[in-house]
Amino acid sequence: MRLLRYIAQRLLLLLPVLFGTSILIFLLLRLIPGDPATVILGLRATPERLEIVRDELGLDLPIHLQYIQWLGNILQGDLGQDYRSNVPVTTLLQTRIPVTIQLTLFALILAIVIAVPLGIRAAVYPNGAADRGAMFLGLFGISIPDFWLGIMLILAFALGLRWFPSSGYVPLSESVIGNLRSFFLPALTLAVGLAAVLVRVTRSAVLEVLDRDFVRFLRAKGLREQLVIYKHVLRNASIQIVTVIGLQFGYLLGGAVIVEEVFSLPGVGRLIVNATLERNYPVVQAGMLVVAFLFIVVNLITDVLYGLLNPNIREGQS
Amino acid sequence: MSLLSVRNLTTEFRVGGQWLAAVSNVSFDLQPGEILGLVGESGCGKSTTAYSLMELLPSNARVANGEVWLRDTQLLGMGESRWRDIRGTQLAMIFQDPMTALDPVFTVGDQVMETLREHLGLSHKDARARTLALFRQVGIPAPEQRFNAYPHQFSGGMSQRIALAIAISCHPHVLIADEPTTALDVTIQAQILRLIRRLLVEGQGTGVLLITHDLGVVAQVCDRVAVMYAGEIVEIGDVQSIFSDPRHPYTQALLNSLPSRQVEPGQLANIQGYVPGLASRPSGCRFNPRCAHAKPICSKQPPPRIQLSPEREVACVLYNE
Amino acid sequence: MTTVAKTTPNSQRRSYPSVQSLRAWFAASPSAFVGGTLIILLLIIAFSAPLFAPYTPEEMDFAAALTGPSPTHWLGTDNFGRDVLTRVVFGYRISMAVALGSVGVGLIVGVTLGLLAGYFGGIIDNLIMRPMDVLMAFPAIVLVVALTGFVGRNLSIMILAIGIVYVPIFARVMRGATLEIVGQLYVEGARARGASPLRLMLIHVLPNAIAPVLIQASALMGIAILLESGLSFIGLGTQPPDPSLGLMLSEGRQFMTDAPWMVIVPGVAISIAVLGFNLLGNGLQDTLNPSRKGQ
Repeated sequence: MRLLRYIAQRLLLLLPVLFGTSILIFLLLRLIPGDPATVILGLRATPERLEIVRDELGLDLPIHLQYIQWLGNILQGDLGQDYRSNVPVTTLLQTRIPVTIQLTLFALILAIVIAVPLGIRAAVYPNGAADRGAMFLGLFGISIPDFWLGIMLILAFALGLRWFPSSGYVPLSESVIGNLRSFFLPALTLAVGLAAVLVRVTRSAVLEVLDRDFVRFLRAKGLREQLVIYKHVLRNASIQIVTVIGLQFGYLLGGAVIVEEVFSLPGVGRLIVNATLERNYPVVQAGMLVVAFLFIVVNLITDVLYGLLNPNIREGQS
Repeated sequence: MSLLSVRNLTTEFRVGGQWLAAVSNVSFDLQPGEILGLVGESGCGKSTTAYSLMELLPSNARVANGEVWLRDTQLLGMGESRWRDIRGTQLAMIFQDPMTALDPVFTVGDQVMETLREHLGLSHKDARARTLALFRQVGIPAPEQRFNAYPHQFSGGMSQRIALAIAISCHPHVLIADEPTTALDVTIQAQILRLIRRLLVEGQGTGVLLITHDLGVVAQVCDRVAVMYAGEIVEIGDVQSIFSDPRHPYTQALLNSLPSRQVEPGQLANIQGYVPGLASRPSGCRFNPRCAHAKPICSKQPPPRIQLSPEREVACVLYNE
Repeated sequence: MTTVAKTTPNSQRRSYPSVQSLRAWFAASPSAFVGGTLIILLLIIAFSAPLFAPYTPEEMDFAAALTGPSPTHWLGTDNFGRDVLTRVVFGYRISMAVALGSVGVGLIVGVTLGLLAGYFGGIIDNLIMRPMDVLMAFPAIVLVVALTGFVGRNLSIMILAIGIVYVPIFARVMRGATLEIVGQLYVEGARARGASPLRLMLIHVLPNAIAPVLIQASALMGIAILLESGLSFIGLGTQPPDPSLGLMLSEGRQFMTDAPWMVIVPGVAISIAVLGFNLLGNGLQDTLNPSRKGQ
């Protein structure tokens, strides 16, 4: 019950952000000097086509009504038209969103698998090899540009050792192995930056928990050290780790924009970049909407997980 | 043979670049079914003694010398894997602040069951039944409902009962209780102390080392008492004779401060000054700068240990004849 | 004789404290020292690029195209025979300009907004901070791509776009610091003595909030370099033939099997600069904010 109220509270807080986000995305197109219809179609568009677009965007209406119309369409699932190819933008996004989600989730898993065990070991054995490794990853992981790391990985593992394809995308439905192979290098590229942040957070969170009184009591009652660390300490530290993972998911979505470009993966990020390069503004707007929405959803999931992991919030005082 | 026998225990802390002794040459014995109080002002090394016995010292501390015998087993330096069969089963411990002693993210039931399953290898069902029985023993009302509650839903007194349930779950031979009632109010204090006496001492013949700064608690439950000052035991004996006839000037001062009942843990009303820090401990008798009866020799050489009776020992030059 | 004897130790004494303070700085935070030195060196190289660079960045030598590192071209040449080292040195100019410019914009606007929000609270706080939440709802690169994509691709727009992304970050840091200090100020009663809000903000609040802002600024300069090179890499930032490090990388991709230095060198160059800012930021964190050491 209490948890439900907590979730409802979080949702309510998100509404103004969602509202503001939609206004920002809507206004971007209107920021461009000149007639939006001409901006969208280009200078060589015929007057008839310009008229159609003006009508669809409701450009004759006052600006707040234009926004309401635009928002109404979005809420009904109509993200507008790609006027270059005359395809609804939702159709374009349908194949792209799963690619980006798979890439970011894969990267997230890799980052957790790399960073969390390393961070724990670094905290349990200060100044040991793991601690040095964690420090190295924490510093270099955030200093190396992801697109360069991607190129280096291609150079070494795709072109050099030929273990993985250098680019392209194999759908999951076609071949599971092929799909994982095509995603491994991009996901690893994306994971390093997150792992760098995560390893620091894990280390400091575990250090902080190790210092708490209950750990001493667990040891005094003769619990195996593995249980002390991996059951109790990790479970307590996870509250902080999960929060940071949620906050950093935006970093993954942002990184996907560039990593998809490096590895020629047909995701939302690459769609946004290509549409921006072609000045295909309705598609850019739709892409941004998707990214912002994903970002906000992940933040909500993070809040819920935080509540689930933390009995103070889940159970309340009795 | 004593149940627990501590010999010449010296524990040091690393301060700056050097190791300084927090506990020096501490020796005492504990018999089955006995409560031995270890009393002194804060900073005198009581808790460090307790953690040394369990080898649960922080990373900046070490046992430099001494032996701890549990019947015929020497505990110190026996290695983590053998310690796991001792801690919790033969040697149990409870702490000062019960509110922080339990893991906040697991239910109290889980934390008791975990101990039972770890040490006794019980099935989930058996462990649960034993846990509920333990909850009843330590006086948790409505055990079935409280089983799935989290530590933050308990009061300090109830948390200490849970900690006690964990400590007694595997029938320990020795319980080390580090200021178990200091964080609790007076009525709860008495309940917890009665519980310890009834369940452990009378019920199972457990020996209890009760660490406290509160002489009231000592008078209430202890059979014998060891008085610590600045890392050393200055006087040890049975409670009755020490309370009626204290010999060491420090013990006398401690007892003089008792009737007022307003003893702050840091300072005693009738003694000038404070317990010296690790780096500034005086030579000779460590109490000599604060002692009303100090003689020139007191600052020059450590006081002799004098056996006053088979029961009592005091470390003071005044009784040197 | 006496004058000479007097001045010599004097002048030694005068130069001694500076060496000593450098040493003290290093002892206090080796990471800030190494990072700070690295950044200063890079700034000197970047802004006196024509003095350092052996060639001009646009100078083409087709005969020497795609040759590896050699005594004439230390870091090799690209597909037009341009000297890679020279282009890296000039690339640092753009990197550093973007880093300083964008953090400058974000810092000035963000600190002002955060100060106002934290000091006045209430409606003003909401009016300022809710739009900041909206800006924070996008990953930085997406917002920068959109802003530069919609408005235009040149250096100043890029600086402005990254600066806008940084505004809410500085605003939040500054607002937090202000709230903390204003709380203490009430106790002191400076307000009750009739000091004007502007005076209070400038004299009491601002100087005390500088540490967290500086730590943030250092990290964000590193990120700005990553954003600029990333943006240029995907074609939305610096346009050819300007020598941006990110652009060099994307141009080098086609030749990476035959001329790997074309992709390795700019990447290493970016990493060194970002590493410098991160080391400096870590060091500042440890020295200016010792309570959070190791976090």
